[in-house]
Amino acid sequence: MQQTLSRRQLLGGVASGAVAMTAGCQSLGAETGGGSKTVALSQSLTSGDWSMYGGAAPYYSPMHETLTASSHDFSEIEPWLATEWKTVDDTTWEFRLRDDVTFHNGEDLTADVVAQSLSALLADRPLGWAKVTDESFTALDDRTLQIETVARFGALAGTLSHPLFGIQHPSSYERPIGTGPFEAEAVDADSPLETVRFGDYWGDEPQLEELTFEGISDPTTRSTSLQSGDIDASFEIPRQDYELLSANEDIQVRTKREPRAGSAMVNLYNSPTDDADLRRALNYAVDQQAIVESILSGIGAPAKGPYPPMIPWSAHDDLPAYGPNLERARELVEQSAYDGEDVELHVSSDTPHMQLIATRMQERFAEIGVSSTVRQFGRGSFYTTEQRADSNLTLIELGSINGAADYLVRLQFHSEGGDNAALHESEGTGLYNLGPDVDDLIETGDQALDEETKHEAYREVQQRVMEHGVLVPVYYKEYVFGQRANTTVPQMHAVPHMTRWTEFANE
Amino acid sequence: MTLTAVALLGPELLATDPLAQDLTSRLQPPSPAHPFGTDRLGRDVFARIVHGARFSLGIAITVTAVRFLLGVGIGLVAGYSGGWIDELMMRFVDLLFAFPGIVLALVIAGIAGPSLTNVLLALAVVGWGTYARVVRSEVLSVRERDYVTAARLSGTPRYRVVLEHVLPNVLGPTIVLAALDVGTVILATAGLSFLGLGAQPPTPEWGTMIASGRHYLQTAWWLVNVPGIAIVLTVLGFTLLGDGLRDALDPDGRTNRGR
Repeated sequence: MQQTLSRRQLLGGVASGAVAMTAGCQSLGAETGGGSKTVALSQSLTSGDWSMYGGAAPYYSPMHETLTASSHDFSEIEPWLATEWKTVDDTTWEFRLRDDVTFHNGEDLTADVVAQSLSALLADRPLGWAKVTDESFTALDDRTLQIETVARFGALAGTLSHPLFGIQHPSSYERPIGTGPFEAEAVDADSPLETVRFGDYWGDEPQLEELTFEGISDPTTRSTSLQSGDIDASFEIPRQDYELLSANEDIQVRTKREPRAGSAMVNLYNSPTDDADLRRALNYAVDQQAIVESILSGIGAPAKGPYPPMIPWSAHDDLPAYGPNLERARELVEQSAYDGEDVELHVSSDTPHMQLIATRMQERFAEIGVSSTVRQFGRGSFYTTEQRADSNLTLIELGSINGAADYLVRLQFHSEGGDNAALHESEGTGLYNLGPDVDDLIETGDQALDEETKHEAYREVQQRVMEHGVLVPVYYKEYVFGQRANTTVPQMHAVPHMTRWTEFANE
Repeated sequence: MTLTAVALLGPELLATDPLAQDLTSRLQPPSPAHPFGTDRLGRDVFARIVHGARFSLGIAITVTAVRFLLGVGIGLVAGYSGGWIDELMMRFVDLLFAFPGIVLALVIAGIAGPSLTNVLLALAVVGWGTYARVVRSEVLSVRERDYVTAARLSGTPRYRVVLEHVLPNVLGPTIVLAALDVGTVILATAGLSFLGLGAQPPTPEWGTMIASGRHYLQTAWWLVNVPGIAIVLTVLGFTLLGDGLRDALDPDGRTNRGR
């Protein structure tokens, strides 16, 4: 074994030397402030229907910009294309736009263009959770945009930082025409997205001349492509490769906490998890710390609630940790009406770490006398209501990619939220909805125009959710970003989809 | 034989539980304590391979047996009856051959839901056509032989003519085919499990082990290579067995006609 390792180290050394020499030659040829780089993403930006953005997804992309932005640490909403905003009445907002912004087609950014762009987007793709429709936007003058929400909605400014609200010039959808630091002349479906520096960008000048985004769905291929130098940077490097890449002098690898959590959602309406004592017992059985250390390679943090503490209204700090406490869990199983039925854990076949977590949970549940079965589903069937209705626990990873994560609370725990609505309407049940009291609290938070009221309501929701064991929190996510050492470091954003690319360059 | 012995006796003789987790021993490389290393949850890969042999072999033999019985039965009836029955049955077999078998199995397993039982059903449903064709072609030749005609003219009931005079003379090539088929089924089962349609965690099935181990290719090579080698050796073993049986039972090489 010792001999094998030495040989590998030797080969690794030779390979690293060769790569370093090649990289050296490349940097000699590249001028500072120019050059091109390729970034790998887990999904192609040119696959799927992105016709409202000229054929390229607005996620990660440096071409489209939003009115507002989330700060790097997700703590606040910052001005971006809009410099300031205010509420006029319960449902009316006014956004003041920057006056120095030019689109990639040379036209100026005006309130009228923004209103047309967002109206066209919402006519094509209704986004109910944002509480706006295609009739919500009116230009009051060149610089002032009025937005009328369909209900009182305190999180509008944060919601507008969602990349889907990226502004595309409405004159043409043949190619992406945004205001971002890079532009694309054309987009080929299912191909890497090639962008070039936009000379008239209003913000910091982009360092690179060309920036390409390539979709590589297999995590191991992303990792090996980075090692071989085929790509210059990659999101979602597999956690298990972190140490290997850290030891490679040609690569820098970093992690960043996301507003995203992994949980086992517990079906409140399917036996045997319709029993609150059993749900609490399952919570006491799971050892989050061990899961993070072993299965997640120590990348991430053990969770106590559904939302990580970086979300301003997260109740993480106020929530008591359940355990792990197998003794208490066994007592609760005894106390419950559980009579040996199988608890079904559903996982997606696309998330190998979730399969391991489910298997780990299965063993812990066995230790408290609860038998369970793990079933994995393909992407197509995993998110269906039928699958979830049949499950007892569904392992998911959920988070926000806009500055206001409010929609998550409604989606998961309100009777009319996306997870519960179909069953609530057809059978008067749902999946993770505790009932009218929690619905009222969510509506209070949703509608509050002051932060304090909203935070208080959402924290109360989380307290109740955890008291009733509506989910087993597992981890708060940290993503891994790797880049070649000959590149400067872009500041990592809590929401990787919002990474700002102007700083990315040759070293 | 070694593999069969491992599948039958290994799990009984082995003290290590293939499902037992030990997070403190996770991702250990092969060592005397763990000859094939451990996985992410600290489970012993050797124990999982040995227990996996039972699953892989059990499914392969069951699927092959179902295909064999279905195919031989239909081939016998079609070949001996002739006429419209033969036409109807063989056109149905043609229909089956029009779809790539593994794709059809994927569709069936996908619709029925992920489980080893459904994989077993899916593979059994799609693979019997080859047996039916081979048997039918053999029957067409055998039924015209003198001893069959004599039995028929002497008033022997049809079913006894088929079972006592026709069947024994068409079995040779199908047994060879079955031996070769076991390897194919092991590969197909592993493939479907790799795609998440077969064995469910924590079942130690070889395809599932490769699927979960492939994310550790760079850091724990044994998680993919060990079950991969187990599959290769098993398939190779059954292919050689099939070749040997063909030499013994079918020296004229007629087996491949129907494939």
